[in-house]
Amino acid sequence: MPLLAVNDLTRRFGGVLALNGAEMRIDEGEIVSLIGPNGSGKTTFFNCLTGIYRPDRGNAFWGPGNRDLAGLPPYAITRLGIARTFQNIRLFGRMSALENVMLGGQAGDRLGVWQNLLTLPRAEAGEAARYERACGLLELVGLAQRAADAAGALPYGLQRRLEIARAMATLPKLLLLDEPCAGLNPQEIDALMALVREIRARGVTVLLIEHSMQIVMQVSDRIVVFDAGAKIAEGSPEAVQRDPHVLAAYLGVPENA
Amino acid sequence: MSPAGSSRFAGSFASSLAGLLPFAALLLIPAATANPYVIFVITAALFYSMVALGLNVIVGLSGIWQLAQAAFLAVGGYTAGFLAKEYGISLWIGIPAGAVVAALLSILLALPTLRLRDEYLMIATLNFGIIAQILMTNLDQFTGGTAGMSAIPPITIPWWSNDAGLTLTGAVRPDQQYYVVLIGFVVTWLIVKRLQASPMGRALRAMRDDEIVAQTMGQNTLRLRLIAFAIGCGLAGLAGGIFVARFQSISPAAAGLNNSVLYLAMVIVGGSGNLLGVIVGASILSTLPELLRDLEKYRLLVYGGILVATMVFRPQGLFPERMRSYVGGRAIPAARQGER
Repeated sequence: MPLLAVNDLTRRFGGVLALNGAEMRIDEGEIVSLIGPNGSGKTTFFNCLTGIYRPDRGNAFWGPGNRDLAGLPPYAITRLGIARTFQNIRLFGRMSALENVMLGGQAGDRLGVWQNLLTLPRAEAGEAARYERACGLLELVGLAQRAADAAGALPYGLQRRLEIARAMATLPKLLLLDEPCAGLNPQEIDALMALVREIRARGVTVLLIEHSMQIVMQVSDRIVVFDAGAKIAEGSPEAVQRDPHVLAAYLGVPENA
Repeated sequence: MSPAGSSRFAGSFASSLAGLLPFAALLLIPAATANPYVIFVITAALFYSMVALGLNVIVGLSGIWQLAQAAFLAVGGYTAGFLAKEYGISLWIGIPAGAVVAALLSILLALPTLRLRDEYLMIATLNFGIIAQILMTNLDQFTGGTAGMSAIPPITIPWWSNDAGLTLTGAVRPDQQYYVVLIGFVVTWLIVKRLQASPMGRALRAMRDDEIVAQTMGQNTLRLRLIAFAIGCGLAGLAGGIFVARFQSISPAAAGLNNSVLYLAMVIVGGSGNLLGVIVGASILSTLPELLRDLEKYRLLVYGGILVATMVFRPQGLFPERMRSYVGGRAIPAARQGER
């Protein structure tokens, strides 16, 4: 059974059909890339999967527990094991890097008001464990030395990595990365791809939105191509690169074809 | 990375209590001065600080615009007063009961309205405050109508003095008023401080700064908003009970919109989200009218001027919220400069 099976996902904004019957299957342990021209529905797809938008039609079956994610609120989806980053970085800029990650670490926290107010032992133990885990994740993304810095004051490249650490803190089975390489220089991109592989090695499945074919070729097991809100191709990096539909979507169709 | 230099003490409940030590000096004020006017002014500053700290949970910590704080204060006050007058129940029980009633009522208001965003929610709270004031004026049999409740049996501190802290005319003596307000202030401060330092406080700040992202981090923000609103309104109810204990009376004027706006101004001028700032803001705005006695007529003008000046020159308030330097009872290891 796949980790995630999306069928016929459709979302309309007024007259624009942002998603038009999108499909996708993701198996456990894969790194899958989602590519497509601007406006092809990639980010809308993420937003529907994570509950930020409610799809007009279709479903997304989550393997563990075989639940339909469509229509669930974002926090419930996160607690089921799907975490994400944002294309336009959305950190809590006034919090320290460490606290950003610790916030992710309390995703499943259901402590009551009194537990919180009185710092009862259970709440305190939870915070101590979260602290350790957050430190470990900051180390993973190379931010251990910047733990006390305000997230908003970090350089752009580090903010991208901090967002990944924060998402990882929610203990996801599936990590959705929305253009994590946007705005990074080549060295930073290489380091980020190494991080993505390391994350997969830790047992987390990765779905990546990316524009650059080069990046996608390096890291993906499989590539899914969207155009106009629907899947037009899928397969190994090499196969997708030669696919006539993909070439047409990216480069246009010659007049005399 | 090890949590270097950490102490289990920081951020714990004990440290919140330790944070109260500077306030211990406040215990001595009535002994230090015999001037009832000075005590009155300080009592008022403490009282407004308590109110503003409660409102800070809603406005500063959670980013919900609340224009009915005075109404919830009055609800707590009327509850305590009603229990004392009609059933002879001690204010020691009536005051917490008033806080609970205000919190429950706030949940009733919040359930249908908390899904509203920003200014729409503000309008909803504004209307609730107005309706509450009208009800308090017109439910004569419970509230005493326009004149309100008076001659509410005073609160007594049994071990304090033989005369139960009353003057010859039966009013609560200034120093006794002071200590009652101080108790309310300390309780409020502890609750707000603990909430702010807790994981829930972190979630509230996250929700305030970016609600969508807080949700994708696994936070049920509707639940969080409800809890923060109920705690803040409960603290307003507590302050209302303290108000009744102080003056032995309460009237619908206490629920007025002008009061709600004043409380909001205290939070914003002081620095919403920063407890010390909120206390300073409340102290300044409550003491100012005393200092400007001669300008009584222009009081509202001065308030308006201060608010506008704050928004223009220091929108984050006199003391802006600071980043937390410790979490989970440990200091965050600071960056080592050489490795940058």
